[in-house]
Amino acid sequence: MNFAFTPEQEQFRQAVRAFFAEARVQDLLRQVQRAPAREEPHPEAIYRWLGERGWLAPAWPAAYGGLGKTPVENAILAEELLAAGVPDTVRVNTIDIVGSFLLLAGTPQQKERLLPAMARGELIACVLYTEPGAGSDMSSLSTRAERHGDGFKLYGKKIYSLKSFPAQYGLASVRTTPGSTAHSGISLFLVPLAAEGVTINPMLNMSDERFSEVVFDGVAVSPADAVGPLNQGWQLINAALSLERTGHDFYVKIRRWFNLVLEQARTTGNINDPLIAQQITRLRAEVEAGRLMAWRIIDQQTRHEYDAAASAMSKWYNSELASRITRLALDMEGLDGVLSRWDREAPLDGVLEAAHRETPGLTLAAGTSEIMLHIISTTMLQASH
Amino acid sequence: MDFRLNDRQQTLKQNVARFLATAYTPAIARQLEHPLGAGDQSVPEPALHAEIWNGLVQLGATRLTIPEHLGGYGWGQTEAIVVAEQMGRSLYQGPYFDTLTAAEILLAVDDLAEQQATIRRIARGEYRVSLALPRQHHLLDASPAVTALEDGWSVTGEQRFVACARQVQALLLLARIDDQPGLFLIPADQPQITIRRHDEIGRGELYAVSFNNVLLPRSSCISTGAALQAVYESTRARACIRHAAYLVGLCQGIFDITLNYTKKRVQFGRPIATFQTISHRLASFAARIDAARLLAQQSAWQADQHQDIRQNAYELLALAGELAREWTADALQMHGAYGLTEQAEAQRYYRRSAVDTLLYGSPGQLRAEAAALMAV
Repeated sequence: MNFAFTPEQEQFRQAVRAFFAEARVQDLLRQVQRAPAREEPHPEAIYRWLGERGWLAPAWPAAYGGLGKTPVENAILAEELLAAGVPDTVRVNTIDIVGSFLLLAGTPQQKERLLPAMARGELIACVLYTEPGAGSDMSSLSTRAERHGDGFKLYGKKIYSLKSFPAQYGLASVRTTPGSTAHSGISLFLVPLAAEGVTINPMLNMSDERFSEVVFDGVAVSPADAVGPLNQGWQLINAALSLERTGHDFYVKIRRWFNLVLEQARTTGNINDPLIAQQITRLRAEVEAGRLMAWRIIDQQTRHEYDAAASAMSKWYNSELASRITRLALDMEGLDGVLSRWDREAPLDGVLEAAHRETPGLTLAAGTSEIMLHIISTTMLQASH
Repeated sequence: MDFRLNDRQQTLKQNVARFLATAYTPAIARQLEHPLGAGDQSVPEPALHAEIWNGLVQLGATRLTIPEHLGGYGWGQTEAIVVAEQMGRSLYQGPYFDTLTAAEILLAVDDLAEQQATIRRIARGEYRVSLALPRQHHLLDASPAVTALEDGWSVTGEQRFVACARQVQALLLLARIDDQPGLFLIPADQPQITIRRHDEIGRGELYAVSFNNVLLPRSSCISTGAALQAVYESTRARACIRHAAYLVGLCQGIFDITLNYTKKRVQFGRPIATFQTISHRLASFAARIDAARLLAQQSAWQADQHQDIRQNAYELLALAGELAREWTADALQMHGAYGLTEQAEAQRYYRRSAVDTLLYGSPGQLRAEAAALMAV
């Protein structure tokens, strides 16, 4: 048992933290914070500045724009980025999900073409798995790829995708074998979203990040756009999910919100209210336990060990804590707590009000709580047979 | 960073688990439980208790956190919680934890030659100690009062909920000297000390110890005042971490039993574990137990890094305590009425958790203590 970071890792954290404190970064963040409702400015400059240093994807090989470090440095970057208030969905999608997927299953040409641009903060990718009829049951998807000359044409509709607007590519799951059902006949394509036949429509939701509906109407893709072998998509998705699911992206959110609640409780003196103090001390332990669950997965990743049940536990535990934190914030503030950042009297610029609109999505995104419990319980039930 | 148990911790875990699997079986544990309503008429089984104690001594359990120059291994809390968790799985009841805590208290007070000899005896397993002190933080509520005599002290009063008082050679007594706390190490076997067993839900080893004008030599007082307060707080925080690990083990013990039971129990033509209403609850408790375990491990590690672990320790024990209560009740529900029967292990875990989640203060009290440390 050793829970310490190495001195080099601590130095990396300090350097990253100092970067986020720079005036040019803070200025951009203020602009993001002051954007009108429903606008989602992507602070691309911050991503590029990180990219210049190799910090956006520090775990990637230097040849692909990283620093050749470990998942530990990647997670440190993620923590400091969100703690500074930088929106992180683009980073999670591009680096942790699609980028990792390419590292795992991409061809050398795909890696050379895409990864360095991703690591520089210039190329954004989104995830296109969910369909109107395929949510938790991802294998029931009906988007299809029809043979067309050497390549394919895609037809179908993907929904509930985040940050598709600024993205150049979407990683889409589609059926490449006509008539196939369930887990067979699924392939993955990295679809250029500027291509003819792609329509992206906003699906506004209650949070600050809109969903998108991405419609494919005869989008031409080539075999070179396929990620991994054709018809092996289901196995690949599952392999990638177990690699990417740490729960850490959920942990960084709840840590930020909990720290704000704690800070606010100190400022207002609420912390001296025994009822509030009980809840704060309870959550403090739980958030720390959530941190450890996430970091255990990252620690395992450094040794290339994967434990699907432990990953699911981490995602479930961290995401379930989120709404308890924002409810406590509401209790502490009373009606002031419901003021949004577009009301000049909102406490903490409405960050926790926005969080309360975001939390219900966390127990749904990247595998619902029910799916996480399913993964944990099936692992347990199979283990001792 | 490395979350895994190291080789030493892994070996220790296996050795303790193997020992308890044979020496502390459910059948033996039941033999050691006192019958419901037997009150003070039921006495501990001396031969059985001695056998278990000797086995622990042979494993080196009494040497864990004692420094090498005093006959111990000089290991830390990261090792102690490995042992504690395994003991919790088996619902171990005995003088082990109090003896370990007593050794840590003796190590932290002034370095008298007399205490070094005592610590060496503890390391060798020859000396068992019960804590006759309030485990909750209000030191001065300690009831027995001490009067200074010309050549020593006289103690009168009662200390309740003392663990395993009939199996130990000595009591570490906290008493009031005027309005100051004082700590005394005294032989347990004295005519002026009377011991009455509490009849309680855990059917375990809790006693009310009465001191009726017990005369003590001057040397029996080993610490007083503010120095004692500091020693007590840091030692108690470490004891809280070990106790949390014990509760994690308790939760895991009944978890394994419940998982097995629900996989075998068939209703509506299927094992009930295959119903989501059961399997998802099992999964959620598996995650929460794991979370508590990780938190206990980090807290133990922080203690070994000499950090101030008080707030973390209180919050950890509150978390583990609440989890133990909630989970043991849910485990009973999953067992159905069978779980309530005397044959079922489930009700033993439920009853024990009632006691073990209060030993160092209720979860609410522990959180209040934690909150006091961050008040503005």
